[in-house]
Amino acid sequence: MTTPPGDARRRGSFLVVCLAMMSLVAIVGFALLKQLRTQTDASTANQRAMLAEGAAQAGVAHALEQVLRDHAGATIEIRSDAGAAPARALTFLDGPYRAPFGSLSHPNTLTPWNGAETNAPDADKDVRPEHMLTLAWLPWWMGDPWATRFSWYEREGTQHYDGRGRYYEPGWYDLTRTPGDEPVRAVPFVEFAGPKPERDGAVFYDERFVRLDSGDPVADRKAARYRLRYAIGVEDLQGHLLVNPQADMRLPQDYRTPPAWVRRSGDAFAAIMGAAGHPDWFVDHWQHVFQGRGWSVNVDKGAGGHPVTFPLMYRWSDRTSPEAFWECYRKPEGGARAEALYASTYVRGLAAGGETIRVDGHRWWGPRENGGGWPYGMQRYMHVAVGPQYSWWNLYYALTGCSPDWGANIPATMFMATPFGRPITRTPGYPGDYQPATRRWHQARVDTPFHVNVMTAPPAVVSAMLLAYLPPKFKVFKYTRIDFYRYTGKVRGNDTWERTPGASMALDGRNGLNNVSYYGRDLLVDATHPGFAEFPAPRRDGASSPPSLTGEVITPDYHVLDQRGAQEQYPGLAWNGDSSRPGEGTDDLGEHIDADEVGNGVCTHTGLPFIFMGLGPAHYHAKQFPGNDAPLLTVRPPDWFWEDGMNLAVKVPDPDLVKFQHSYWWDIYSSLATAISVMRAQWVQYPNDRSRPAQAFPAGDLDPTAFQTMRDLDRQFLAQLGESLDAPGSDAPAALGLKAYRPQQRWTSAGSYWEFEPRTTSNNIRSLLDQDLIANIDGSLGSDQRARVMERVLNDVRLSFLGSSPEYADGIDWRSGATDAAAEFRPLDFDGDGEVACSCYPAALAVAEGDGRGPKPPAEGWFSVTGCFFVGKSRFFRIWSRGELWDNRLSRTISEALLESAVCIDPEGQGTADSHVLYQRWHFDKYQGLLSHIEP
Amino acid sequence: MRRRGFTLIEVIVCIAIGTSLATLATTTFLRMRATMRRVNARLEMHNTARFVFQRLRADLLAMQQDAALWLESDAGTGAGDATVRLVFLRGKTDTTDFSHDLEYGVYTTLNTDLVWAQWRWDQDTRRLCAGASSTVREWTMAADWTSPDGHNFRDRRFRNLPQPRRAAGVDCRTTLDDNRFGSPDPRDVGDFTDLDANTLPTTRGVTAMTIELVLADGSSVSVDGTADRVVALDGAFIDGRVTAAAAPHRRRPRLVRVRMTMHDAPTALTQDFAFSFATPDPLPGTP
Repeated sequence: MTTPPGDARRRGSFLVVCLAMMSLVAIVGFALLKQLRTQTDASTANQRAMLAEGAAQAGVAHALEQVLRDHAGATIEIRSDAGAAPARALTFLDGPYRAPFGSLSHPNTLTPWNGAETNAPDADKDVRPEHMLTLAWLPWWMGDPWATRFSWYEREGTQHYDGRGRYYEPGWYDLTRTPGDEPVRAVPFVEFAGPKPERDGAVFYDERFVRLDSGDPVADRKAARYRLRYAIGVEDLQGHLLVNPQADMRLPQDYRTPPAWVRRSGDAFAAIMGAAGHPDWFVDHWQHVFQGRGWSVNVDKGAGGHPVTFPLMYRWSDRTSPEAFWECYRKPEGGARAEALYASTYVRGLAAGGETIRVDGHRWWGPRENGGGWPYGMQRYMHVAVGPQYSWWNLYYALTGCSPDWGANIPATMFMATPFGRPITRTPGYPGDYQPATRRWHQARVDTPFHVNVMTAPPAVVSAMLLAYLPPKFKVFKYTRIDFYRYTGKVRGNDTWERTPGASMALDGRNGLNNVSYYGRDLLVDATHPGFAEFPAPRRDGASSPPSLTGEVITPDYHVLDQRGAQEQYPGLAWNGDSSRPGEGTDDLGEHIDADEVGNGVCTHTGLPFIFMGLGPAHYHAKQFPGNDAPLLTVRPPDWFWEDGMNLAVKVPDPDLVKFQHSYWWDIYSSLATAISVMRAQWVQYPNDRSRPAQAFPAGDLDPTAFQTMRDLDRQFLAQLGESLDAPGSDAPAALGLKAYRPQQRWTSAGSYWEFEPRTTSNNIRSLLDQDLIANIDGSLGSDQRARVMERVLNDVRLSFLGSSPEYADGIDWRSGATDAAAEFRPLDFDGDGEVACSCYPAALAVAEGDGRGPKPPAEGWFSVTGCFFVGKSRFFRIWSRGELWDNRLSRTISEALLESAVCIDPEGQGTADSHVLYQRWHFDKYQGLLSHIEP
Repeated sequence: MRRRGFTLIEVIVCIAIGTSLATLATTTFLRMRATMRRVNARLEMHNTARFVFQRLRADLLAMQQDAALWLESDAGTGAGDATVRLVFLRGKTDTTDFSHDLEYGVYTTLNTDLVWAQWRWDQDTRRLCAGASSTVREWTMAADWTSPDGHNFRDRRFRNLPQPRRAAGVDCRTTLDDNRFGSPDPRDVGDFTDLDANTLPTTRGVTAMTIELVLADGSSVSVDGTADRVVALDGAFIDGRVTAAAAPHRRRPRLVRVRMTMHDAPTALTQDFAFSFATPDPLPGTP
């Protein structure tokens, strides 16, 4: 009997119906379950958020304990990748307190941000390398994973930042790695003696947030629904540039009589930031902080209470006159440039003050009188975020002001400058009450807000300090090309201007018309240090020396442009060089020294150089301005500036063609940068993307104990120059047996890293003198005279950056506090003539003692022009802590909180009991909403 | 013959039973309703208290220890209203706004990361209010404001931001209000006036309020609105300095305790709540 086809169809229909009903039931069931789960998860959102916050707070406490423990200890045990016995660390560069916060696999790794550990045998794919601890509050374009994600830490702020490790998961960080996979393991927190804090136990939860604690963390971790953890990043704020040198945060009550710190810090900071290659507007904006622009207490008020004038930023004199405020940060021969954009906003300054703010007939942006700019016809009087700032973000806001070019501020303000820290200052009764043996850490022989830990400073900070010191004449770039563009209208849709490149024209970079100084103020004025009393800066009473200013003078007039000649700006004869090289050869003192051939030292963690030389400003020449002398703009004008058919000429600098390439300054700077690099490389404990300690130095040369003090750094610095700290001026480099190095980048299949090759510098001052290589070609000056100039320049640099550090100044061992006169800083007789040239001496010259050492600088002779370095324990830190609740089921973070803290450790040197939190700030990522992660 | 209907006794019994049942039901219902009201009131109090806890916690976790702080109590015997207030500087607890338009000319960066926060209990209205100062105050001068040299600032635009202060001064009103321009425009106000205007009711029915600060040096101060008192605490020095004469970080709160009594008039229900918050300073202390 066969089954009728109709029956078969019916059975099939029945099955279809059943399946459909089952599917419907399943869909409805899943929907209900999903809804139920969503509701359940949503109902715990608050709990999850608070857990993440609690984890972040635990992270800060963890970091604080580590920092305090290390600070309280006399020494810190470090480990060496070279297989040597554990040594004693002298700095926090790679002290063990950092290890728990670092990645087990790639501590201090910078890149790749998302793949550092994926190949590790015990890699946890869900425990991501935490490079982006600060990602939550970075601007969107810095968080774009496919565009410029790395940009923020490839720039100014890049430093040793230890949040780049994996998440610290309590109870789960002490992984045992495969032997040979990584030779150095991180030091677990629990290795320290003493009872374990509660948080050392793992924190795993089930669905009901009941903690799993069976005693087997491995099993608990697998069974858990949730895992609580945190990531920590610690930044040494004493590696940053201090913005608020005044502790009380009081504002000057009258901008016309600013306290000394305002002038000194403002000048120094503007110069340093200018040297760092930031746009000029960025430099100018530091007035917001240092001048307190716009505070109500800082506004002149008329009889009716109305604003009469605002402080300096709102005033101007004349864009072509040298006393113009805006002009002071730019090179004089550059002429007016961007000033034309702004000039009409400002009020002409009067010596007595009381200028009247114009309230009619002008625009915010001057040249756009007929419809351009923004806001049209509106003048805003602002009490904005100015003056001393309490947070990094406020600092950023203050610097940004109304400038739209705000993005470039991020790295510099967030990772290069710090509102929290303490300057070193002379004691109130200096020198009478200054006692080196009992001094506190912030008491010194100089006043400077920039007391920077040379072991942890970002490369950009080192670079800025060095370049700011360099006289502008020595940092002149040659422009070698002009590129022409024509604006052809706006691109439809994205409202940007399209420009068509035209032809390029070659320039002769040696022509003075095609040179431009690395803008930045000349700090060699008495406003910043007393060391150059022989050539005083223009007096501030309007009667300048030499008299160069006429007409109205803004009081105080420290913003006047330094009109002195080159020799006056820097004493000595450095300018009298080879006249056969016009425009270039006025300083050939370094021509026969190859110290600068090693390049600039590099950071062993970031690979960035300690001197940034590729930041020469492009000049924009727009046709819009009338006349043939249209100003060159160092800032590319905003889009509203352009018009269809407008021509643009851009002068392009060649960073490799510095005008004074034979300058002795470049030998000095290359040597100092390389010495810093060598010193830091000695203390790298763990392999990272840029340094492999075991391979960095030739066998036997890895000895961190030989690099423990500023004197050790000085010794290496001089060795790089072919000079000897212990036997100055005694012989040529080859005979001195000095250990100098050349950083070399090595490439492997795993990437690149830096090694330090031994080298011998070709010449030093003594050998140049002995060979008579530095006499003027016309015989007007002998080698002996010019050698003395070199000696003075070198000793001044040593004093300003190294010797003014309190410990080195007085031979204080920072570890024990003991003083040793033999270890204190002294200017040295490098040319061996029996006299020591240094600007610290009243006559800039002193008779050398028997060992080539000059006398101790007189009490008033110490100077630190652009800050000084130190080696030792830092006391100010920024701690990032991100707490995170991980959902094993969803395999994603479901709640996180980022906590930023600034702490000071033992601020007076009287014990850690005075340590406290200076600042704390929660950051919330709006893309990390509480419910956004519920949907898998 | 069969009788029809009910006897009187039966009816009376039925009515009695029915009345008793109705009375019982009504009583039960009324009692249940009263109970429900009390339960609801208590639930509302607890919910409100939880909201207060969470919001106060968020504010206090963002406290700036290097800025001034005031704890003030006004019994209402003088010219002012009877209040208890806690004023401090805190980081913004909302999402930082990075989404501004990048187009030139859109200046949304004139902003601040720090705002003044206030918790204020108004005794007369029994309201607990909270708020923060505006991140920016901007206005166009509506009034004539002419300088002696003839410049009229009318229609000019003015802008002001909250200003951090470390020194507490006499009281929060005096100290915080010193940054107004001084123009006749009513919108030209200082930080305190702005803050006070932004302080809005969050809870009603608060009949008693005590705020206690446990300071880092171990001492404590508290106010409860029964007497006039101003506790003005300077902020810590931003460079961490500690001097013999002034160690303000030791006079900063490490713990904030809040005790409040809520009363529901219709149910005559009274409930006390007590919270304790750790401030952003786990130190000082030795490791």
